[in-house]
Amino acid sequence: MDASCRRPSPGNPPDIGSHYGEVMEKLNAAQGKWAVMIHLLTAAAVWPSWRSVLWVVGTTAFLVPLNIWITGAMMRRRGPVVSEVFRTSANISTSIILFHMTGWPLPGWLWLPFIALAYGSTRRLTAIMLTVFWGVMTAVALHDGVALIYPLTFGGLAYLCRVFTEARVGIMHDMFARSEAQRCELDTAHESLQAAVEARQSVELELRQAQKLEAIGRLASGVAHEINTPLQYLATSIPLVGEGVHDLLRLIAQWRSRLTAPAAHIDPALLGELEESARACGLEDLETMLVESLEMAQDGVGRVSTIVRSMKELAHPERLEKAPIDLNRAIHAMLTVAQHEYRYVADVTTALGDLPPVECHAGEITQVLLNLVVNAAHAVADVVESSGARGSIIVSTRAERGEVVISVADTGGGIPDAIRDKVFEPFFTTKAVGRGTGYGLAMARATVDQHGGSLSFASCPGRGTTFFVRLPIASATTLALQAAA
Amino acid sequence: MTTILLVDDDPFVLKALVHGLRRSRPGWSCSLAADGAAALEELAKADFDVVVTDMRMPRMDGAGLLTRVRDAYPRAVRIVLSGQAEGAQMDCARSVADAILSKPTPVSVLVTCIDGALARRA
Repeated sequence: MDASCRRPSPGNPPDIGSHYGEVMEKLNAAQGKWAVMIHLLTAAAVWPSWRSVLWVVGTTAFLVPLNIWITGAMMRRRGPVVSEVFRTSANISTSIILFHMTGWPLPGWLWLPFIALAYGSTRRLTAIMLTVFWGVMTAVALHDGVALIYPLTFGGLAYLCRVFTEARVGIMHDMFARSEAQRCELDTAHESLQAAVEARQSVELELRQAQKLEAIGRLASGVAHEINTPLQYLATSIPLVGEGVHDLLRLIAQWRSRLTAPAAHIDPALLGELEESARACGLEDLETMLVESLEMAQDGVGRVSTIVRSMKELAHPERLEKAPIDLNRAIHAMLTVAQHEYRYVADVTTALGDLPPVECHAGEITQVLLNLVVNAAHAVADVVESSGARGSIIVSTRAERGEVVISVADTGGGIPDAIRDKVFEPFFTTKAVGRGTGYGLAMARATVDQHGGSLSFASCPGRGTTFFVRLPIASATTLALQAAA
Repeated sequence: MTTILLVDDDPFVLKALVHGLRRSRPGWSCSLAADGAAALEELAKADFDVVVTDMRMPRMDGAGLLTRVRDAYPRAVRIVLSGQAEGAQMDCARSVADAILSKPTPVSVLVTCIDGALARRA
């Protein structure tokens, strides 16, 4: 709960400033039966007739001097001068302040905005009540009620008419305490609701992203086909051009050697003209340039082919049943596709052992591994940042006792001890907005769990982290079938 | 002389393959068709030892063509050269093709594949 939302306890005695307690006691003693009787008479007289006016005027005329007599001296000496209210409230845990409407040196309600600003905003006060001279207020209330509404507008929560008792103050305090408690509960509920709405929005965002990726995945196969067609004639034509260039260059060299041979008997002027043409087109450098350019073109086609093939493998439509896959091959495809994430910050090395085909949902497991590699790249990037240094990511596989172990180790900053328990929690992320949703590792663990495996990590802060994916080689269904056979 | 029918709806693929095959095997004769239906017309006009076809094509796709070739010209070697790797069409093509090659495939690999298939057929 918010620290500012102090939950008052109904039923406890209100904590009133001690000086005001004294004032109240003296007021009660002095007013006594007279005040009570007049109060009752006045209440009975509040009737829409000319007699009520007479009653009000009469009782007011009687009570104003009475109040002046009783409270005047005390209030002048001990009234709620604002500095005293502040001092008192600062020293004790004040939950209620009673203000005298016509206090000294200024009417109490004039201080209300300041008190409300100072304490109301910190929720230290349960209630600010106004005490009013009932006679004056009754008269005014019958007139237009403005005098009562005005102070309430400025932060007073209720008013009490003389004569009142501590019990009455206690009841009102309890009432406000309950109201405040309910407000606190509402605040808490609101915060929970707000958190739930934010979580839902985050999930919806993730879902939209997932849908987008799914659509891209569906398109990838078609796009790969479209790319592969021009790649086919590039891959066919470039070697042909290479061979042709090689043949031509060999032919030119042959002709040159024949033409420049002493026995050639060629016209020196014509030979000079040919040599000049050869120099003009840079024949000496042409061979190197053409051969290197063709090698680069060939390499480019090869790289594009590899990327497209990997994309196709990753976008392979998911089968409903698990199927045996070559995990090492899937890792190679995944690393090709994820190159953009790590190539500028880390060197990736693989140590892939001999693995039997592993029965799994290939797309889901590849997604888990992709997630781990991308996380590793981000962890390394955070460490090397703009230093120009490079980190390292090692992906290794091995088979042991009926399962395969895939590890992804990085030389990032490691996972601090304080957050080790949270890394698999949904929506927990230490990454900047837009770089991570905090859902990747939670999803990865869920996926691996569904395969009957486990996802764990070992981390050394400052040195790096290694994640381990353990997967059974054969699914539980297959093992059951084998056992039955 | 080995006769080869190359089928693809992309003329650049056909041209590149013709150049590559002519250079690798000058003795081979290549004919071209832009889709499965055009290929059947060519097959009706002359015998071919090898049919190399793409999968996705207008009018008649590669799987349909190779099924017809298997039934009508069983001696012809049937090879798929496609950028497509999955789907019902490919499942069908696998059952009727002697070999499946993915684009991009170097001409040297295609030549080796044709040589091997012809040797097995002989």
